Amino acid sequence: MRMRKRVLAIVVCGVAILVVNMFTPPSIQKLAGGYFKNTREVNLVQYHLLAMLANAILLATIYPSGYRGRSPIEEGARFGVLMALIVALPDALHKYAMINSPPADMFLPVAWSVLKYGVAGVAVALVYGRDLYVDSVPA
Amino acid sequence: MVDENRPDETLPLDAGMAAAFGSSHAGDMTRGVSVVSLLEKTHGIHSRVLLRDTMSDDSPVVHARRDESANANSQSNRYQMLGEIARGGVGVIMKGRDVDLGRDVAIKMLQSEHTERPAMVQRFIEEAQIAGQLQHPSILPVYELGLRADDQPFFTMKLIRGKTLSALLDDRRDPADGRGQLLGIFEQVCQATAYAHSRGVVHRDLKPSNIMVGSFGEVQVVDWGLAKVLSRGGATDDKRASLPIESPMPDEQAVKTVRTGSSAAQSIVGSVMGTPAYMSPEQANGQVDQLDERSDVFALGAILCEILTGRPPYHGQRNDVIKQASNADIGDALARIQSSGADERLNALTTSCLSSNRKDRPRDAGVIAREITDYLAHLEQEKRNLEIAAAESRATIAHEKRARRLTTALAISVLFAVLLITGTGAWAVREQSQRTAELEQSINTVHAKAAQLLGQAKASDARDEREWGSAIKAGDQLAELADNDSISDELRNRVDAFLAELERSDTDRRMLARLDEITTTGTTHDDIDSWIVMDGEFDDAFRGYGIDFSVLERDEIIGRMQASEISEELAFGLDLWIRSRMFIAVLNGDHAKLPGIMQEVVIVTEVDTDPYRTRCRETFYDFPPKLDKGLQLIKELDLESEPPETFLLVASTLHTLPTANVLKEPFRKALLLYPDHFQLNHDYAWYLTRFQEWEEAARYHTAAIAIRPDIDGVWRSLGICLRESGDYESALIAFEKAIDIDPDYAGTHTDYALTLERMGNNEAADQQYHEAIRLKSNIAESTRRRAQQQLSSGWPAQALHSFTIADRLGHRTPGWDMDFEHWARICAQQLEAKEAASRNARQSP
Repeated sequence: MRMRKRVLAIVVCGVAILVVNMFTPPSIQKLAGGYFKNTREVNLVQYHLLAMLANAILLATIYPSGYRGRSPIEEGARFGVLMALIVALPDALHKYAMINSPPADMFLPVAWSVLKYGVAGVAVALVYGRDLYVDSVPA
Repeated sequence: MVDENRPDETLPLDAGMAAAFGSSHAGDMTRGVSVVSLLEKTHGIHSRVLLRDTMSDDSPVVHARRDESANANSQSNRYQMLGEIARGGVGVIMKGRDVDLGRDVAIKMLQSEHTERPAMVQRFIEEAQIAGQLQHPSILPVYELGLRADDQPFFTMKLIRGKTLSALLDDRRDPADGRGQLLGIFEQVCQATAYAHSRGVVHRDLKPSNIMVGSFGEVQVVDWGLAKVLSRGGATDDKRASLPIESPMPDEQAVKTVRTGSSAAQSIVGSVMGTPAYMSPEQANGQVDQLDERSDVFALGAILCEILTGRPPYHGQRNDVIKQASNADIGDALARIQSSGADERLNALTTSCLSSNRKDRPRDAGVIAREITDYLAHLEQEKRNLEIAAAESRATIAHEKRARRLTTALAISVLFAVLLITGTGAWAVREQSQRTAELEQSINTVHAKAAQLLGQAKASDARDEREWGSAIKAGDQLAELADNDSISDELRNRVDAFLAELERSDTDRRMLARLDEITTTGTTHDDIDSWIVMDGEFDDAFRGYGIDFSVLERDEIIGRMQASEISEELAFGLDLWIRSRMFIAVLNGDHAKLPGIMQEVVIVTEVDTDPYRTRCRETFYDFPPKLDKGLQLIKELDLESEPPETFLLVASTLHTLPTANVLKEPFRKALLLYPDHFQLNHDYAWYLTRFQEWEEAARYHTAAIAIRPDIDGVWRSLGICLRESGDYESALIAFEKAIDIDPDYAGTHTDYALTLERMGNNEAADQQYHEAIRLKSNIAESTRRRAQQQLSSGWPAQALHSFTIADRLGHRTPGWDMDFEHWARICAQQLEAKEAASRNARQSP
């Protein structure tokens, strides 16, 4: 049942990320890819899906380690925001150090990542619920 | 707490019971005196604590006061009488209050008619003693034995507030109701009885109405008035119990209290004591000597029977009950027990207790108590097991429910994810298809435009950079658009083919432009140096086109030229290249090279297999050229089907022959067909100069200049024609134009100088001669050699012109040695002979 729950968490998290990505504002998309060279005429969708699956697997795997028994929504949002900051913020700072661009071009995508990961974290947390605490506390 | 509301009608008891029990007991009797009252009198201590009584209404009195107590007067006022609770055949139970301790008690007294009977009094006191000595939580405790003011005994007991077991049993709608709770009560009864048995006391009147169940669950076995103390336990009353049940003592009747049930269940006072409905056979038959604990065991079995079946073993009218009891007729009871639905263990215990043979019954109440305790424990365990099983079942169900929910959620999520991914994929594919379609449409549009521009470029001059630039730009745009993996293979192949064609066409047109440039530049200059330059230019052009004559084998060269779309033009170019090399070899006197050069003629004829042009080439490259063959070719020439280059090829064949003007007519015909052909105009003008038709030649030079005004050689040729026709001013302008276009060509300067010299401007002429020598130090010698070649070719006019210039230059060149007069005479002689030949030709028919 635990494995089923984990799989469910991965699926739900993946769907959440996919849905949020689908609603990514064009301006954010433009900012994210505007400073790359050799962009493809048509994106390789399968690699986008692979990235989202990897995100979902990692989030659903890491989340139980940090769960401390509070409200799933609160825990999930906190976890997602933390993950977003870990993933996006340092990278944005590095990019800003290298690329001559307005700050917004580098840091608006970080804000969007925070939103995306927050939703994904809540999705994972809602799937695991409070039962997770029982499983995670040593006997 | 001080009780301020003590009832007015309290009945003080007489404490003078000392007389009844002797003076030795007087001290004990003083306990009936109110200690609090004495202390108030002696010590002035006032103490009245009374707790809140929450159950005050649960023990209603039957009568407020009775005579038995109304005339009683307590010396001490220890007990206040609150009314009668119950009345039996011997005694009466009053509700009273212990004034000192502030508690309600039950006070049992003999009825007034028995107070004078010592046996009854003794029995009464023994009851109090037995009950008082049986100290067990489930046996009603006796607080005090005392005397009233009239010396009648009384004893006080705990006042129980609650119901009798009989009442609880009657309250049931079904015997199965509350069975567990009743068994719990029964267990306590058994424990109390077992205790009594252990103290050698047999109750002998155990029945539901003698069992009080308090409001808080406490169970009390009451009414020990018929209790028998076994021989090992103390004094007995066997004598009084020796009479048969049918003849009870007239003065001893069944005890009737509020706890008493039906008449058949009343206790009987006398030799056969007890309640028939619960009575053992030996007790019912008055077998006093056989009465022991097992009689109580029977009674307990009867109570258990009533608990299980709703009725005692014997029931019916009083006489029937007595009869059943005497006969131990328990068949009906056993049947009821078996059909009660109770546990088999209980049934067996009940049946065992109700055995007519007392030996078959459990030894005493302790055995029953243990059985019941075990059974209840077993029941409790089963209940607990059931609860655990139920809890486990609930947990399993909940777990399975959660698992099912999780599986369903998982399935729905996966389905949703698949749908979402499929939808996204389909959307992406659709977007990609749409983009591809748009891209392919753009490619097709640009392709069509590029093809159109290529067509226009091909139709234009090879040197028209604007047209070709547009086509190439469109081709670049097309290539950029087509650099995408998503377009169809068919379109890609089409685009690739077009781009390859464009590239090939561009290469071809560059080659054509190069060949045209080489041709126009080379053929408009008549000096050997220009031809040498032209030789190098051709070599470079063909190498740039991928045909390196110094590296490739002949067959490879032929193959590549044949594969080209401009193989015909390449052949014409190669023709001119061969001619230039031959010319150079001849001028240089290097005739040994001619056979090698002639080998390349084979290449031309292999590449251009047109039969007519093949014959032209055979004629041209046949040394010395045959006039009749040339004339024959002229006759056969179809100008409308052949390109002007074919005519120029024929013309070049005859050009070198000192013939009459046989080419004039074909030239004019060709020019009528191709008036804008530069080379045709130029070559015709050049041809006319052989016949000193300067003005006509100037006209065609002018036409050629109109087509290509950027060629300095044409301007120079025009200047020569104008000069020779006497128009020096115009000639100067033409020469200056030629010098503007190419100021480094020495030949133009010499012609310019000669014109100036003829105009008498020797100083300017001298400057131009020096400029020519500066540009080309050997120009005098090369001009002389050119003059000699012209003379040998039958062009005396051109040769005289060249000798003149060589002489002018030679005078300005150190070490110059040429006999100009000699060469001038030879030229004059040839001119005369030529004119004579012309005249003869004109005069001949």
